[in-house]
Amino acid sequence: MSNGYFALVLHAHLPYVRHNEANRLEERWVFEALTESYIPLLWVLEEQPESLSWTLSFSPPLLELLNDPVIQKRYLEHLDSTLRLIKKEKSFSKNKQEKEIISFYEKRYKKIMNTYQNHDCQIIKAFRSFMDEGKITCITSAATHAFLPYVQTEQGVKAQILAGVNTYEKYFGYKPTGFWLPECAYSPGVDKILADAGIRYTFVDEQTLLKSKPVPSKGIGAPVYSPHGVALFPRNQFISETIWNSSVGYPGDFDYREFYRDVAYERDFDYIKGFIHPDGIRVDTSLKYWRITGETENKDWYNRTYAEEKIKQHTKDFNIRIKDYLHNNKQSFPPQLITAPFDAELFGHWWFEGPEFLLQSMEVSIEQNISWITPQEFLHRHYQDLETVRPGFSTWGRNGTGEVWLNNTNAWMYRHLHYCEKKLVELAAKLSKEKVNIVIERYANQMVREWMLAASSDWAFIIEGNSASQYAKDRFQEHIERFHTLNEAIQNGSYNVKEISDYENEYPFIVMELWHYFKNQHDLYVNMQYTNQNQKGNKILMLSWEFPPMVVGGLSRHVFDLSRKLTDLGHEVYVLTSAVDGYPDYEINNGVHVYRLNGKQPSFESFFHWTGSLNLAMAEYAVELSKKIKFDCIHAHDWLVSVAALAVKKELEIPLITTIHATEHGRNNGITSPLQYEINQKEWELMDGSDSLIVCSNYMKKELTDVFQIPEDKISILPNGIDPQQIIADSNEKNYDEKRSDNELLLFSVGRLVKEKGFQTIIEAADILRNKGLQVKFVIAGKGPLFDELNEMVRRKHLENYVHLAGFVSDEERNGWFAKADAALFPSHYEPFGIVALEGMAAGKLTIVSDTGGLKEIIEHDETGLKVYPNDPHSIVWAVEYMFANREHCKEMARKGEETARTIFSWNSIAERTADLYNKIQNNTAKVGGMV
Amino acid sequence: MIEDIVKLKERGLTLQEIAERMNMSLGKVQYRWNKYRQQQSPPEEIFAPSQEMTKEKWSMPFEYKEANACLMPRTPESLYVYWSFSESVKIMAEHHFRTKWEELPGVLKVYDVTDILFYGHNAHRTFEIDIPPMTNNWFLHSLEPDRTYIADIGTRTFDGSFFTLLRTNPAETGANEVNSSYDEKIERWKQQDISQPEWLENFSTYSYYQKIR
Repeated sequence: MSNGYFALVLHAHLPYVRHNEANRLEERWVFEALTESYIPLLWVLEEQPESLSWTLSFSPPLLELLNDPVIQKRYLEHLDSTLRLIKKEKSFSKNKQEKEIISFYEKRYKKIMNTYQNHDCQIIKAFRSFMDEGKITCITSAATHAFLPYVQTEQGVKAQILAGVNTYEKYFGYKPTGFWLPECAYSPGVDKILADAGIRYTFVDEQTLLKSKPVPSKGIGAPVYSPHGVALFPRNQFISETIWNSSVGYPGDFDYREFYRDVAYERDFDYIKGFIHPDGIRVDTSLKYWRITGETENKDWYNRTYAEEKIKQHTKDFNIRIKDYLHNNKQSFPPQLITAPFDAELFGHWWFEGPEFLLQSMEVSIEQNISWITPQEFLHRHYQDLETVRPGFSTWGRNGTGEVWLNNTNAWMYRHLHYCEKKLVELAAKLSKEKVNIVIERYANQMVREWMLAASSDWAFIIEGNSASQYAKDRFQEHIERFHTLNEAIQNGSYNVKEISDYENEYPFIVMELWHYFKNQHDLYVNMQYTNQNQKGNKILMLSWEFPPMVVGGLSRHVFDLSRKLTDLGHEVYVLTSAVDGYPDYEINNGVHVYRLNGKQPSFESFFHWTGSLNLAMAEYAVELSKKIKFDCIHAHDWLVSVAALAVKKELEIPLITTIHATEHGRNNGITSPLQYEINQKEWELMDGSDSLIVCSNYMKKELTDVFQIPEDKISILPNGIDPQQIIADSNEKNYDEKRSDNELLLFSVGRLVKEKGFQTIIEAADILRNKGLQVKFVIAGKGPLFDELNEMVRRKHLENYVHLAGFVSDEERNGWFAKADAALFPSHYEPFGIVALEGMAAGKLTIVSDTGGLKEIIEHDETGLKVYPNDPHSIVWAVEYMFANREHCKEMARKGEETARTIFSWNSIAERTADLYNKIQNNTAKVGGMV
Repeated sequence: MIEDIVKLKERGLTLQEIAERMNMSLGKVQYRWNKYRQQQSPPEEIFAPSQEMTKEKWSMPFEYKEANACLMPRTPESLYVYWSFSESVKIMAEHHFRTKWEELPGVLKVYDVTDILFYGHNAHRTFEIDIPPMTNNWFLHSLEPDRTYIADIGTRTFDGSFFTLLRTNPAETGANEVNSSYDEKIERWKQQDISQPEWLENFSTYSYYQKIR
């Protein structure tokens, strides 16, 4: 009884080198492989002892080539020509030893011809019949032998694996259970797709197992399961290098046939010209008369007796090595397994005597009681005895890494391949929407074929090795270009049956449905969700850096109110805004689609660059959304979204409407710092690049025309709106209104604690009022950079009983204060609009504002409220004294103010006017487009 | 023999039928018949040469005008990154920095993000590489084995901060040495404590409408 098993695995593969044009040099790769490897392997199988079995992988391109009638016909012609050359050589040769070799070839080629014809040129069928006899197990590989870890998408890997499996099924009648990973290139995730395709085992390098996590307890003595349950059989380097290693392996023996010396280069041109390439290029005839001889250019005649003797020796040696290895590496369970995978073409093509070596090795193994096993049979016996580990990315190439397929010579290829994959996913997403035109479907399938043909690992390998690299580069480029030509024909509608037939005929490779592999569940879902889109309203892309719950200034509330009113009017609003911790990155809030985005550097220290980062994210997202949502226009708010707004306008070619809520110039009363300058620039660029501008007041319009030289007719004035519902105090709220006496007044102010809001003026006024002995209390709510300074001011003047800084207040608290107060006071120096004043009015309170900016346009003095001079505490004092003196009139003004706020400034009417503006702009830009 | 084949062929039999009639393999009959036909007529192409393409040929570009950055595994110490910019990203960078694209310095920033959910600022370690103009790919060498990396392609602000324009997918450098005989992640996976593997699987489930809900 032996100590373990030996598994031989051969992988047969050639790139798809079929061309309609005859006499392409690369086609000879197929002929040579047939003559020297595949047919001699059939001979091995004919004579192979019944009790032995091994594994043979055929790559899909090879399956297609060997079953192609054109290739079959041309191969017969090629054999014919070789036989004619042999005849000519026979009469040409004068040398006895040479004559012996020629007659060896004559016999051999007649046998090749016979074998090929006896199998009706159907080599694969012949192998299949040996599979039915149990002498081999055939498996297959990826559709075009792509280096799978370098395929970018899961769909791409799936296409390569499933199309390979289906091609195998076409020729063998059932699906394979084993799979050859091209270049033994494994990476995490490949195993999942293999498992989904019904594959139970594949092959990797021994380093793949040894560097796995954890290290398998049996080392490479047994296969392991990958995380997704595919058995990985490791190549045993020690045993296999006796064959593949060019310096220490058997094939380099001096008595074996020399590969690099061919009759083609030995004869006069006129003599040989009928047997080489028609263009006169000398190419191998496969008649090679010499042996390796040694490190010399003077090669001796090839001698069959010597070679056969060496085959015998090497066969014995090989079996001893196996036996010793199994003996020295005994393991309890499962028994030690040596897996020895090779390229099939090594046997016969590179190592002429290889097939004979294999046959005799089998015979010796039987004598020596060495058990050969197939991985399939091994799994059948030991599937319960294997460990699960997770291997990393690895190959059987140099150093076990990806460096052969990814280096300075060939790295340029991958961006093209990946781009094709993405285009295929895009195409599949678009095609899976509806019933597909049959011609377009043929285009899509051919595009997959072209990508696959370009993705073959052979091209990167050949380009790296510098042999035949021009052909590899040309083929790669050809398929990439064919891919895009087909894609363009679909896109521009010029597709036609004639063109696609030409393309199909040129590369009639795996004729099957292929584009479906590139579908994606999510895309199918989106297609279903978006079939019945609302057509009546506008689709508006709203860009605002703040949106509730993030409220920094009035902008947030404004965008929210406008958006939901527009939604009420039947429009669709998509708001892109910045992310807020703990809030969903997508929600539908009051019918408004809200996307909260993070830039790629969401904690950028500089606020200016933070906005830059956010803008890149917004623009990217907007373009992504536009794949399904056909936006009618963009509505941007303030400079913070300027970069994104202008980029999206350009990319999507839709109108941009911008609301300018405030300007840096106005806020700071001029531009002084470099940052203010940058912001000022952004504002100008945004105004300049917008199709239409909205401001909230005449005051702001004037600022735009004066400071920024914006033409007047580009600007519309739409006041900010107010929703009275938002102001009503909750009657259930605990009423902490300590009863005030009649001669005490409470004035409420709210806003960001920044200079331009004028809160410091209130403190000065409070000082004066106290000195006059009047009972007045001011409450200032809000947070901001000035908080500490204001607090200090109150403390210094000992006004703690007169001025209360309430800090941040919630909406409910704010409403509570409004309800309690006798008046609302907004003494801003700069206020483009002054939504807070409207809130005060809507709350039914007497509202006192500065006679400045937008504020002065809201209130009619002594009718709907009172105006005071900005930056003048005495003016505030005057207003307070007026209140004490005219109580009834103040109540009347508050009532009128409330009515104004609820009618003229209602969101309903403002949203309607905004929508009218969208339509106007769209029509304008459409007209321009029509004229061009 | 060929005369018989020709006669039968002229009577309209298929090669398969002829082979059966003459008790020969199909391969032999095919071979004889093809040879006969070749002798009869001058060699011709099997398919008519395709007509002159009137369309402008699409030719393979140096890079695509898409905002894209891709990091690929290579060896335990090296990774490969390639990228390209869309017009839109270039314009936005020009706009944000108010500087011509060609004058913006190109910088590659590499993040070690092993076992963390990276959001832009939480890498274990980072380093920056200044890249020459017109570069659209880079081999990252001397990396640490068995780590996960992400690379950003960006530029530098006037005050010297790195500003991200593109970000790659994560990619792993492989193990260089034999690992330990115990692995927590595979144990949790085997016990089905988790529904998704805790390691990086190489392939993106790319979807066209990725960002549409």
